[in-house]
Amino acid sequence: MDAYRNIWGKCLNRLQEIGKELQYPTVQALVQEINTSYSNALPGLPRVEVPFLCVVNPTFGSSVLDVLEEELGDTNEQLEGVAPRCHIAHLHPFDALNLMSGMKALVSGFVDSDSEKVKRRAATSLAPYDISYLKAWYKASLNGEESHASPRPKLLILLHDFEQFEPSVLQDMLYICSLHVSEMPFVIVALLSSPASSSYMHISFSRATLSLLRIRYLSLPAGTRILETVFSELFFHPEFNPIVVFGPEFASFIADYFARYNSSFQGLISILQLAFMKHLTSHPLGLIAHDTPSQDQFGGLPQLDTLLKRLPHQNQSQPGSSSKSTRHQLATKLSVVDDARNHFTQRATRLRLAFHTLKIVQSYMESQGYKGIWDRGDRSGSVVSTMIGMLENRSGAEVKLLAGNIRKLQTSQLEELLMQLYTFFELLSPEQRVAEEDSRTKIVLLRSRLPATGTSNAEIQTVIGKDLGDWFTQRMSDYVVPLDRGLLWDVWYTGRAPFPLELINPSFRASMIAALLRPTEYTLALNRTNEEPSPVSLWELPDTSILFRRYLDSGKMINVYDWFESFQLVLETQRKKSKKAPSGKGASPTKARGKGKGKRQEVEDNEETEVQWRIEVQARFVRALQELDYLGFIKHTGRKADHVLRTVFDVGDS
Amino acid sequence: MATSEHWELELYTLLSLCPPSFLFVNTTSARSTSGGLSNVLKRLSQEPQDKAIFSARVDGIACFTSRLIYDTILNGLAQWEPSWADGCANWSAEGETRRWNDTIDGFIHGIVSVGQHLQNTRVQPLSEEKKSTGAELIRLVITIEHVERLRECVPEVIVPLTRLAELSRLDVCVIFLSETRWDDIRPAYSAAPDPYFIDIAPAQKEESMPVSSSSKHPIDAYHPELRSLWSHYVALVCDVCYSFTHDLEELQYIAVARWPGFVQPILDERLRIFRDVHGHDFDPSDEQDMLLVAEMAFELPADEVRLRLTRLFNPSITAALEELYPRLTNAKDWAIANKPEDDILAQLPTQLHPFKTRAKLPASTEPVEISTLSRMSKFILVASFLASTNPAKSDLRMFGRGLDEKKRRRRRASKPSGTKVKSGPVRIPQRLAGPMPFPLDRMLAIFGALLEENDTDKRPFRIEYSIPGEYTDMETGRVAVSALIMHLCSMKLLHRSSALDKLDGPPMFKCGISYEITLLFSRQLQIPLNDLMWDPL
Amino acid sequence: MATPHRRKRRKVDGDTLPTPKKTRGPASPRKRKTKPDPSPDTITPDTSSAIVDPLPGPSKLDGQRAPSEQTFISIDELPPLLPDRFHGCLRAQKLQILRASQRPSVGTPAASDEDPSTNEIASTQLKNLLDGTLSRGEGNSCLIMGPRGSGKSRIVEQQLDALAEKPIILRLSGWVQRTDRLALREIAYQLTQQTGSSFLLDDEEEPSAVNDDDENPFLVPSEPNASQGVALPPASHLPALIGMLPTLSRPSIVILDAFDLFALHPRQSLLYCLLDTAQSCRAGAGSKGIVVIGMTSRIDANNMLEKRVKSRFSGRIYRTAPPAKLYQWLEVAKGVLSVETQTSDQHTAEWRTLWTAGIYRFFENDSVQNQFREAYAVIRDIRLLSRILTSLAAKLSPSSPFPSSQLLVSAISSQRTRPQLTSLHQLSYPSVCLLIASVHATRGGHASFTFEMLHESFQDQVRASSAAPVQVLGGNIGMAFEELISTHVFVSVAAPSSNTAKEFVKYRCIAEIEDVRKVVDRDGQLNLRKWFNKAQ
Repeated sequence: MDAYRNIWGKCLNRLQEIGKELQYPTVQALVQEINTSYSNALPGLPRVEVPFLCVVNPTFGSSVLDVLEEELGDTNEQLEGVAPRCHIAHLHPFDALNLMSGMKALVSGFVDSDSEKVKRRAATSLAPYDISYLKAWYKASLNGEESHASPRPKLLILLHDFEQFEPSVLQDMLYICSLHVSEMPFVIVALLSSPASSSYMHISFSRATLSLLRIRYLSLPAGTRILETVFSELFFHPEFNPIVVFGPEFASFIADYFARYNSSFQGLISILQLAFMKHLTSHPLGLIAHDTPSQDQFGGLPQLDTLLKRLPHQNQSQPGSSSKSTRHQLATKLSVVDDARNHFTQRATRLRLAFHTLKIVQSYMESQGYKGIWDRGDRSGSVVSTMIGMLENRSGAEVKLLAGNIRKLQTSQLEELLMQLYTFFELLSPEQRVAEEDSRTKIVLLRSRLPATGTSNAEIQTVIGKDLGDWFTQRMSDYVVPLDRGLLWDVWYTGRAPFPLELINPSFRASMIAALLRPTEYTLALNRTNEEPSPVSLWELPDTSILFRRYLDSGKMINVYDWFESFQLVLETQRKKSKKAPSGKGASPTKARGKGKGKRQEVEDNEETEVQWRIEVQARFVRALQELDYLGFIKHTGRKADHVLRTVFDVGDS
Repeated sequence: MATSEHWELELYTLLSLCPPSFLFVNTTSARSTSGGLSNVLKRLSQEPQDKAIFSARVDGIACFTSRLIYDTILNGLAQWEPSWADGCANWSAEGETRRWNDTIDGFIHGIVSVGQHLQNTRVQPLSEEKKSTGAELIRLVITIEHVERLRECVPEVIVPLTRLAELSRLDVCVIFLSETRWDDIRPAYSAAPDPYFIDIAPAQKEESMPVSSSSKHPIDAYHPELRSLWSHYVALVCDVCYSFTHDLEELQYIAVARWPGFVQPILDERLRIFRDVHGHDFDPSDEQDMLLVAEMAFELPADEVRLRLTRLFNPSITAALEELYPRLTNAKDWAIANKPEDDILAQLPTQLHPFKTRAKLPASTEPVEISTLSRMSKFILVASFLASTNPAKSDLRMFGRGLDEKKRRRRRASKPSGTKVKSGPVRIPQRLAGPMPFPLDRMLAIFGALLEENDTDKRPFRIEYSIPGEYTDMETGRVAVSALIMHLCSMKLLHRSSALDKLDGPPMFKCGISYEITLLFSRQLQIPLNDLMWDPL
Repeated sequence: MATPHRRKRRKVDGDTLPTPKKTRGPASPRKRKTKPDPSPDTITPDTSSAIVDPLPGPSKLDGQRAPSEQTFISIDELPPLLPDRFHGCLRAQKLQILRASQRPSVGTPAASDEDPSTNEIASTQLKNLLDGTLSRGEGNSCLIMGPRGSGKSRIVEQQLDALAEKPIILRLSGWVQRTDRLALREIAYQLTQQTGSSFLLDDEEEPSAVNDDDENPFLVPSEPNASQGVALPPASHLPALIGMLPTLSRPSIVILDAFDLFALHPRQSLLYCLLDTAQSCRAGAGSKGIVVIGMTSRIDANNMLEKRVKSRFSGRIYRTAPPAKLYQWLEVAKGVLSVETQTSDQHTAEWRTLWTAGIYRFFENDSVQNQFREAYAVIRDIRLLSRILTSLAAKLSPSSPFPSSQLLVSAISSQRTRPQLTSLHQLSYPSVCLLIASVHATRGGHASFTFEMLHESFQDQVRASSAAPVQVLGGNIGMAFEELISTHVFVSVAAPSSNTAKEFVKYRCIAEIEDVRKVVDRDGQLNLRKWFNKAQ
């Protein structure tokens, strides 16, 4: 478990860095816009427009604004006096329910920001939702720093999830702001979550309002590009080693899920986390994934024997050896484990390197206008597919295509390509450079053999191209090796294990019905006996399931009394069985112990507990009925007396 | 119907002499009118009148509570500026600590005391002998804009405001300024006296536009020398655009946006001349060059050049109107987006093609943005569009399956093309009359149908779904689907038309996207949208 | 830009003299029978000489014709442009006219031959009533009833001004004091203002300051902080405060404007207390009198009173009425227009001759007569007349110094017969298209339409013929739609809800098809008209 924890922690940091990276350019542009928002207006406009920046991000939540704020902060302190400071007020939809509360939130958002409070008699002074109150405060703050020469500090209004605002309220607020924009330089940043932002503005706002604003649109990266970046940065970065490598199944599922349902960064993070957790916790040897625990702490762990089972039995020759020898064996075996890990890591690294070489060549080809393997249409998506392909070791076609292209290259192009490869290898971390010695020498060699530019020498060029192509194919072929070889591979590689779909995205109706039909599977799954549960007969089921079975048998409308009758029959059999075998209550594990106890004492004194039994049956019936009702399986219609309506039909089994 | 100088004159006369206590100014563009009004008031306050005139202005939108109205009027009349240091206290007479902003009574008392205050402080020095006569020497003018909003927010103050003069027994003139007619604002029971009406016609085309700001920089679009060209240019813009908007400010906006591009050729011409004269290119950094250019005579373009410019830029002005008037983009970006290519004047007039705009509407780029929605949400949106345009009874025929029988592909062949249903006088297609609300279950059913038709091949194969359609059933039932629906609601692409806290019955939704976007989605998903619509286009 | 202000005038008129007379219409030149006028300085002597003897004041040229032919001469000699020495006089005249038109004097002794007008009766009755209260200290109550603008308030004010010694005057208005507690508070405030002693909820309130009434229970101050507005006296104090009124040092007069609204207050407790006090106030018994004067325009005002209240109301109802005859109406007009100016200008005398002549000619003009007759026939509200005269006077300028029938027409059209949809006549092209489309939609049986429907039909029309301008951009049309909405030509039929998209909100066009036809004809685009005619 802690193995999972530190691995995931490592990856999570990585992910967040990636997220920041993705957001950074937009935020930069945003800050630029904010700082220059009042200086670059077109002269002669009929009136001053309120700068209104729409940040379109479907993927990242309000984390953008945090990034923006710290960005603003450090720009402010790094160039003090040059870039004007700005006061920031956050505005959320829930505090702009009506105009008064909205203005109050706006004004107080600014006013409360600074510390010094002035005591004011509430009645005879300006209302706290009065814009002129804000104006007075702003004037005071200006005189505080007497900065009339330098551009005045902006008043930055951040509108969190913009679509939730009531448009009419917002229009009035904008109008009010625009009335005073000459005294107070407002800058409004709205955070839209819908991709169709531009139309949203024009749909929901009237032209009168739009004419008050100067609207700019900035949009954050979205869609599959994020997925691509995350994958290549997380799993295929030559430097970074996420100890667990996802198999094609996982990867493709994640890609598919990302494209289908939830294309938000948070969603991606969570599903990755789930994947890690699933792999590391469900795998019996999860704990050796990160590093091998030392022998003595390993000693008592239950996973030890499974590990030992998995290890190659090279030294099982002398059985019954002494304890120290077992310790020794254990040590050796653990060292074997370490070797396996290193081995695997190395293979994974080579895989990543291969991918990057591929990527370099490909991007170069595209820059040279060749028809690449990733056509421009949905390039990023197919990048992911290529990764998956490499994992599944079926990226041969692409390699062949690229190699063919390489062979056709001109001298200058060859030179550039070699240059790029060279720099790539130079930039590697030293130990990897050592590992990549031969390919580097190869490239250097090729470069040296290149003729001077200009003197295009046909055959040399073809030769070199050919060599390079061969080198490329060769390299790919021996770097791209399936990871599911070698010792203990499944500790670090999920292989072809399918992704636990039901965990992240269950289908509630189906699962609920399944639970009602086969409650035993769920309960048995708790204690880890993997053997197939024997088909249980009806009477062993808990009451609700019994009722539900009958429910499935019934027609469109159910007569409650008949239902009760059938239920009672089942309970009778149950009672008989339990009379026969008083210990039979273990048969249905979920049946409440309380009921069982009730039954046992009613085994002793039988005759006078008939009434009591009836009452109990009725109570259990009512309880089960209520549960079904609560789950929404029945609908009460006043039309027929003591009848209820079925809501679920044709359940796909029986 | 009075053009601007007429009504300004009339208003000036009235206010300076003896105004009726309640005026209603009915205008077509409130902003420009309020500008003129403020001009009149400024002149009144500057030029000596036989009564000192103090005015206050209230905006009906900004003052959305009665308290705000009272504060603004009183502070404005008393020319009182609340300062942060003393806690933004309102105006109050010396030693008085009453509050004026609680009720209309308090407000009227406040006005009276403001009147006395002004009477004593302001008027005293300049006219002693009049003061001795005891006549009141001040006139208060209160302007209220966007009165129609007062009717919504604070209807109770309208009547007292209209009767302010007789209530406060002062020389008060209340001016209502609104774009809507008095009949739409008039309180019930004829509670308010009829105002003295002033109607203002929209600005005529002939009325000149303010000349844009001028700068001293010699190579600049705003050089004072270019004024006359500017006036010609403004005439051109008005000719093109006037029939589409009468709003002077809009015209000015468009004109300003087009102006830099318009003068660009002339400036290039200048630079070229400079090059010919001084042999080297002009660089603004070199002040010696600056001097040379400054002393270089700024000859205005000849008429034929002007004609050529006009012919060149006429279409682009129309384009500017199309984009800038609905504010699809803003003036600055538009001006940057289509600068004319360099010295087109240098080209021969024969190969002069009318200069066309290369502006990109955000509306046209928007499908690219919106196509980043996830696949399932596209399906959901298309389904909801269908659900809210098609009549519910047509679903069975459209999608060719009831709830009980799934997977009957051949029913789709016998689907009626919606064109045949034409009955009743003139029936409005639903997509014009607006989306109908639909229950969630119906949308899910359509969604399932769509998935079954168009998504089966794309989804990863799973062995455990043996029964045909079961997979789709599972897919529609997923948690992520309902999560997506909620998400789309939050993006206002779906509208939830039933209350959130309403538990019984399925939640009702409405489709929030237009037909075009739906068409786009369905193309991406290879859904034949028109076959699925009850009355296709 | 002609400034009425005098010194500016002097500077500017050099260029204003030759300006074409905008506001002055062709009528007065047509009426001029003799030669075009010579330059002002030549005419002035003979006009002045012509009318030395009796100035035709308002009393002389009343209704029927008694003109002397000197005035005839002077009519013809009226200068089209005012010589600048009269500008001051003109301004003074306008000032006086405006002043007078604010409070026109109804019931001038012009109609001496018939019985006195209703307002005179009312004022005399009111006078007697007030005398009774002030001199003999009785408690009285009356109700002044008359249509709006028939001079109720004016009569009351006249009588109050005529009073010898100042009573305590409490003015309440049903429009402002919406509840009894507000009214009570206001009474207390006004009492405080008029008698130096403070009664309720003043923050500088000390019970010792109250001199003349120490038995008041409510003087134990009920939270006397005016700083927050909730300091309303509990209704229990109402009878005490009111009952204290007669005990004050001076007689008190309570004026209730919009009496009927007070009658709408719950249980009419304020009215009850006031009337009860007034009734029970015995003459002489050490207590000064109190009179309650209610003013209302509702005929059934005193039927609105509850029984107990009504029984305490002395059924005195004084009626006021607008002028009953046309000539009285004209009298008012003349009286307003030909009001004396008292300026210390040396040209005043000759100015008056010119002016009276101008007025005379104005009223002789029979189109003017018709205009007045028409206006009178529709509305007899005197305030309408005053508004008309106000705009008439406000439009006078040195370029057209005398009222003309054109000015009158424009004044009446702007004040009384207002065009139904003023905004309709300056619509931009897309808006006109939308209007026509809406007419089509209405003809198609859809009284309420959405923007999409209009847009659709508009585009059909564009495809059919080239009715459309170059751009049929949705945005442009949409903006026009908003324009129409903002000017209330299209009104929404349903309450605006957040979850309906803007283009699908249902609207209804309040412009009649006739108005649209006018617009289309004025706009004069052929294909537009064709399209419009398809709707017929």
